[in-house]
Amino acid sequence: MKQLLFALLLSGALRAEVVETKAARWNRLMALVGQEMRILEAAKRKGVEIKYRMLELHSERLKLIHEKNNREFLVGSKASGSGKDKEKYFAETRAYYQTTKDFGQKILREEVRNSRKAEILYALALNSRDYGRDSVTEKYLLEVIGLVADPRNSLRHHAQTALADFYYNDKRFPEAITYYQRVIQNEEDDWKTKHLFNLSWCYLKNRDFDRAIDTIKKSYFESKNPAYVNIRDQVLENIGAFYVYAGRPLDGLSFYLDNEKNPLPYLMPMALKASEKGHEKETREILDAAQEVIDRNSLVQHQEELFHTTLDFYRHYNRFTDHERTSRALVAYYQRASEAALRDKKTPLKQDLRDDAVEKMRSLAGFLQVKLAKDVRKDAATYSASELEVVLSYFSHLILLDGARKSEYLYFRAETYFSVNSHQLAAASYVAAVTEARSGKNLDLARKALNSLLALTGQEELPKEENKKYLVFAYSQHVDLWPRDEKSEQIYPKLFEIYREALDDDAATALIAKFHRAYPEELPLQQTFMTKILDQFIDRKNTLKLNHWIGEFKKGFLSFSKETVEKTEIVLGNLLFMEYQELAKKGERLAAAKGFEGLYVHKLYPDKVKYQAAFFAAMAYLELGETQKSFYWQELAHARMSEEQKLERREEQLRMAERTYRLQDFPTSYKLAEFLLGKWCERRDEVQNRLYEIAVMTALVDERPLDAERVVGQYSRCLKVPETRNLSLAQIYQYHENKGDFFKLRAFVQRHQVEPYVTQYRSSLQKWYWEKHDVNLKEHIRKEFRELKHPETLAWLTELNLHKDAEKDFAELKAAVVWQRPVFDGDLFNQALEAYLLKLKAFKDRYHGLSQSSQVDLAIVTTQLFSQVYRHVGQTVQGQRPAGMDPETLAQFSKAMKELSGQFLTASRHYEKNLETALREKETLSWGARSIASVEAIENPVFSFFTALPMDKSKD
Amino acid sequence: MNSSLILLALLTLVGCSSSRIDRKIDDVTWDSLADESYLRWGEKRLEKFAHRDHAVVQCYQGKETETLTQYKRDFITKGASPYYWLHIGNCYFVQEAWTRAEFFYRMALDEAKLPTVKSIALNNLGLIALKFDQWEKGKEQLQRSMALAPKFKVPRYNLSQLYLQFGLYDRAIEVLSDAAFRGHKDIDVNFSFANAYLFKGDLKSAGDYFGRIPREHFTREDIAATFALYQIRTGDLTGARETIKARERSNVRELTAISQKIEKILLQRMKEE
Repeated sequence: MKQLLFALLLSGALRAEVVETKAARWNRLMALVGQEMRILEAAKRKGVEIKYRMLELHSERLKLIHEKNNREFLVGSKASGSGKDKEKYFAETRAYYQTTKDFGQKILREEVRNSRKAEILYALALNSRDYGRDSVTEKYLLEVIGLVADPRNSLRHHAQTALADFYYNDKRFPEAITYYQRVIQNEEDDWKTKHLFNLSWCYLKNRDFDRAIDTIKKSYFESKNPAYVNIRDQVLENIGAFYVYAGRPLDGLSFYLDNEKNPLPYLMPMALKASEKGHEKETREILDAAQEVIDRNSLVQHQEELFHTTLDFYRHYNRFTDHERTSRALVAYYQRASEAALRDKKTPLKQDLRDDAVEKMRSLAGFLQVKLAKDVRKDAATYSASELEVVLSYFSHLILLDGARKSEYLYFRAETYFSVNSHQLAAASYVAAVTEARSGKNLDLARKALNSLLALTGQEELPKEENKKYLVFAYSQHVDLWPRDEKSEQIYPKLFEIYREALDDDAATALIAKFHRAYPEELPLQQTFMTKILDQFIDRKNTLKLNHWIGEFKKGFLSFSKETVEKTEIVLGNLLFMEYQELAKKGERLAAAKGFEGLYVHKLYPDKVKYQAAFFAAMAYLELGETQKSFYWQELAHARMSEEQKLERREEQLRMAERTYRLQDFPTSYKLAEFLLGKWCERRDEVQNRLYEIAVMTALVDERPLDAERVVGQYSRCLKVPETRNLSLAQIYQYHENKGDFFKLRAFVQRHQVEPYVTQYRSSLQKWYWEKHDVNLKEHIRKEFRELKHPETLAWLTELNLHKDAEKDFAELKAAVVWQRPVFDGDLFNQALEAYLLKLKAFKDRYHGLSQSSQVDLAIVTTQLFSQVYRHVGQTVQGQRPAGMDPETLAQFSKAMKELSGQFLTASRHYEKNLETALREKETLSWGARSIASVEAIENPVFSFFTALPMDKSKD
Repeated sequence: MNSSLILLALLTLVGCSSSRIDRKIDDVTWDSLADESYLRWGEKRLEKFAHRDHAVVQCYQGKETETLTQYKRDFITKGASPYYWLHIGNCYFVQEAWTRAEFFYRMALDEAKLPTVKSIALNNLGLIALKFDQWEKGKEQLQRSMALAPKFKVPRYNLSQLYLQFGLYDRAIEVLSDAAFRGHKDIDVNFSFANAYLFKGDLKSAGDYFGRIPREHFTREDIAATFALYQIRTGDLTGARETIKARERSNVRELTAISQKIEKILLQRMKEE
C-alpha cells in the first residue's frame, strides 16, 4: 500500500516536472538568447560576425516568440471556438520579425564588405517565409543563389531547396521542377527522397504522369537506401493516385501487390481515387484484389475499411442494390465484430468506422427516399419497387447498426411507405416508431411520428376501422405523452367520443380521469362526459360498472354533487333489482328473494343499494308468505337506511304490516306495527293511526291483551284521531268479555274506569252470574257487585238475596202442613187454611217485585217460582183430606177446596203462560229461559254452539 | 306408572277434549247440508272429494297447519278468491282458534262482494258469537246471513239450534220448516225437530222424528241424551238406560254433565220400580 502511494505521488511529481520543464525550457532559451544578446550588445566593437550572430539570436528569439504566440493562439482559438483575429495573437511575432528584418537589412547596409551577406540574406529569406508577410523570400533566395556560385556550396543547395519548396508551395510547378531537378543532383542531401517525392508531385501537377510515376518510384526505392530519409509511407500513400491520374490504376495495383507485403492500406485509397476518376471496372478489380489479400493473409483488420471503400465505390456509381448488399454484409460484419469484442477486447475486427457506416447508409436511404417521393409525385405508378425495397432494407440495417436511433429509422420507414402511398404499412410503422420513441424517451420524434400518423388518418385513405384504430392510437399516445398540451386539449373530446361510440367504457373513463388531471378547470365538460358513460352503463344494465363509479364519485372523483350520486345510486338499484323483480313477476319469488339477498351481501354495493335489496327481499318473502323472513329483511334494510329513507318507506311498511297479518302472522305484524308506531310517533298522522289499530288488533288476535293495552298506554299520544284509543279499549274489553275471564275483565275495567265499559261490565257480570255454573265465580260476582257500590249492582245484589229468600220461603211453604189433626174442626181448619194462605200472600207481597226485575234471568226464574208456588198452594189446598170426616161432608169439603184451589192453579198457569208468551215474543235468549225449559228437570242437550255448523261454501 | 307419566296422560286427556261434538256422516244421503258445510263430511267423503273443490277440506282431515301454510303461499294467486279468507277462518275454526277464526271471517265479510259469501261469513261469525255466549249477537248475525241468502239451509239450521238451546221450540220448528228444508233427509234436522217436540211435550211428533234418524246415529251423545229423555218420558226406562249406555262420549263438558244426570235419574227410577 505504501509502495503504491509512493508510486502515485512520484507519478504526480513527474508530470509536474514535465509541464514545468516545457515552460521553463522556453524561458531558459529566451534567457540564454537574451543573455548572449546582452553580452554581444555590450561589445564595444561589433564586427560582421558578431552582428550575424546577433541576427541569428534575433531569429532564434523570433522563433521563440512565434512559438509563444502560436501557443497563445491555440489556447485562444480553442477558448473562443474560432480562429478569427489570428493576426492579433501574432502581433508580437510580426513586430519582432520587423525588428529582426531591420536588424538584418541594417547589417547589409552598414557592412559593404560583408562575408556573411549570403547567410544574412538566407536568414532574412527564411524569416520572411516563416514569420513575415512581406513576400521577400524568393527575392532574397535568388540573391543568395546569385551570391553563391559554387554548386557544391551547401548554402546554395539550401537556398535552391528552399526556393524549390517555395515554388512548389506557391504552385509554380515549372520553377519548382527546375530547382528540384538541381537539388536532387546532390547525392549528399539526406532529404533527396523527399525532393524526389516533391518533384514527382510537380510533374503530376504538370500532368507529366509517366515522369511523375518514375520520379515517385525513385523516391520509393531510394527510401530503401539508409543514406536517405525514408519517406516510403508517403510515397505509398500517393503512388496509387499517381497511377490513377496516369490512367493506369491496374499498374498501381501491380506496384502495390509486387512491392508491399501488406498493400491494403494503400489499395483502398487508390480504389477510391480510381473510382473517383471514373475507373469503375478497374476499381472493382482493385477491391476484389484487396479482398483476396485480406482473405489470403487473414488481414481482417482491414475488412471494415474495405467494406467502406466498397460502399463509397457503389455510392459513387449509384449502384444502390450493390451498395445495399454490401451494407447488409457490413452490418453482419459489425454484428460479428461486436460479438467478438465481447469475447476478446483485442479482436482484430475493427469497428472504428461504425458511425461512418451509419452515416453512409442514412445518407443513401435519405437520398433514395427523396427520390422515391419525387418519382411518386410525378406518377404514382413509376417509382421503383426495388428502390423502395432498398430503402426499407437500409432502415432495417440501420436499426441493427444504430439501435439508439431505432425510432428514427422506424419513422423514416413509415415516411417512406407514406411517400409511396402504402398507407397501411406507413401507419403500422408510425405506430412502431412512436412506441420505440416512447421507450427511448425521444419525445420529439414521438411527436413527429404522431403528427404524421394523425395526418395520415386525416386523409382517410385507410379502411374505416383501421383508420379509427390508428386514430385512437395517435390520440391516446398524444394525451399520454403530453397530457396538458394545446393539441391534447383538442384531442380529449374527440378521443372520448370514439371510445364512447365503441362502448369502451374502460378507456373512456380512464381518459376522463386523465383529462381531469391535466385540465381540472374543464370539470363541467368532464362531468358531462362521465354522465354519458353512465348513460351507457344504464342502457347496457352494467350494474357492476355503475357500482364501481358510484364508489369513485363518493371518494370525490369529478366532484359530482350529492344529488347526482344519489340519482345514480337509485338507477343502480333499479337496474340491479330489475332482474329479480322480473323473476318475481314471473312467479319465481324465491329466486327473486335469493337474488336480492345476494345483492345485499355483496361487499361492493353501497348502503342505499343494500337497503333497497334487503327491502325488496323482504317484499319477495312476503309474497312467498314468509312473513318472519320478510320482517328479518326489513330489519336489515332499516339498519342501512337513512332517517329520510325510513320515512319514505313507512307507508310501504304499513302495507307490509297489513299483508303480514293477512298472511296469518299476527305476532310479526304486531312487532312491525309497534316498531313503526314508536319510531314515528310524533308524526301523528293517518299512517300512525292505522299502525296503532294494527298493533292493537294483532295483539288481540294473537291473544295478548296486555300487549294491546300497552300499545294503548304507550302510543295513544301518537294518534291523529284520539277517538281511536277508545275504540281500541272497546276491542280489548270485548276480548276479555269473549274470554269470559272475570278477573282479567275486572282488572281491565279497574284500569279503565270509563264508559261505556263500566256499564257494559255490570251487565256482563250479571249475565255471567246467571249463565256460569261455577259457584265460586258467582260468589266473586256478588262480591264485585258490592264493591262496585253502584245503585244498580247493589239493587241486583238485594234482588239476588231476596230471590234466595224466596226459594227458602218456597221450600218452607212446601214443607208447611195446613191440617193434620185427627179430628176435623171447621173453625180451626179455617184458621189453619187462612194462616197457610196468608203465607202465600206474604210470599207474593214480598217477592212479586222480583218478577219485574231488570235482571231478565231473575225475572224469569221468579215468575217460574211464582207459578210453582201457586201450583203448589193450589194442589195443597185441593189435596186437603181431613181425617174423621164422613163421606158426604168430605164430598162437600172437597168441592169447596177444589173451587178454592182453582184460582191458585189458574194463577199458576197464568204465570206460566205469560212467561212462555213473553219469552216467545221477545225471543229471549237467556239462561233463565233455558233453565225453565227442561224435561225431567234435565236441561236440553242442545247447545247451539256445539251443534251449529260453520259454512264452507255455497251450492251455487 | 310414575307421577310424570300420569300427569302426561292427564294432559293428553285434557288436550283431546273438545268443545264440539263429532258429527261425521259418511252417508251423504243423510246430509242435506253437505252443499254448504264440510264439517259433517265423513272421512270417506272428504277423502274422495279432497282438493276437488277447496283446500279447506284438508283442514277437516286434520291437516290444518299444513293447509294454513299453503294458504299463505297461495295468497298472491288466490288471495282475491271470494272463499280465501273464509276458508282460512274455517281452518282456524277447526283448530278452535276462535279469535283468529273470527278475524278472518271479518276479513271475508269486509272484502266479499257476493252476498252468498257475506252470508257465509255472517253465519260463521254467528257461530263465533255463540262460542262467546253472545246469543243476541249470534242470532242477529244468523238472521242477517239468512236474509242475504234465503236459500241457505245452514244459517237456518244454526238459528234453530239457538232457539232450541233457549227453549224457543216453536221458533225452532218454524225455522226448520222453511221451504229451504223441503224434502230434506238430514240427521241433525230430524234430531232438532225431535228435540223441539220432546221439550214442547209433543211426544208423538218427537217419536216420529226420532224414527227418521238412522239407528247408528243414536250413539251420538246429544242424540242419545235427548232420546233417553224421550224414552224416560214414554216410560221406556230400560231403553233409556241402553241408549245412554251406548252413547259415544263427546268429551263436551256440558253434554257429559247432562248424560250423567240422566244416568242418575235412570238409576233412581229403576230403583224406585
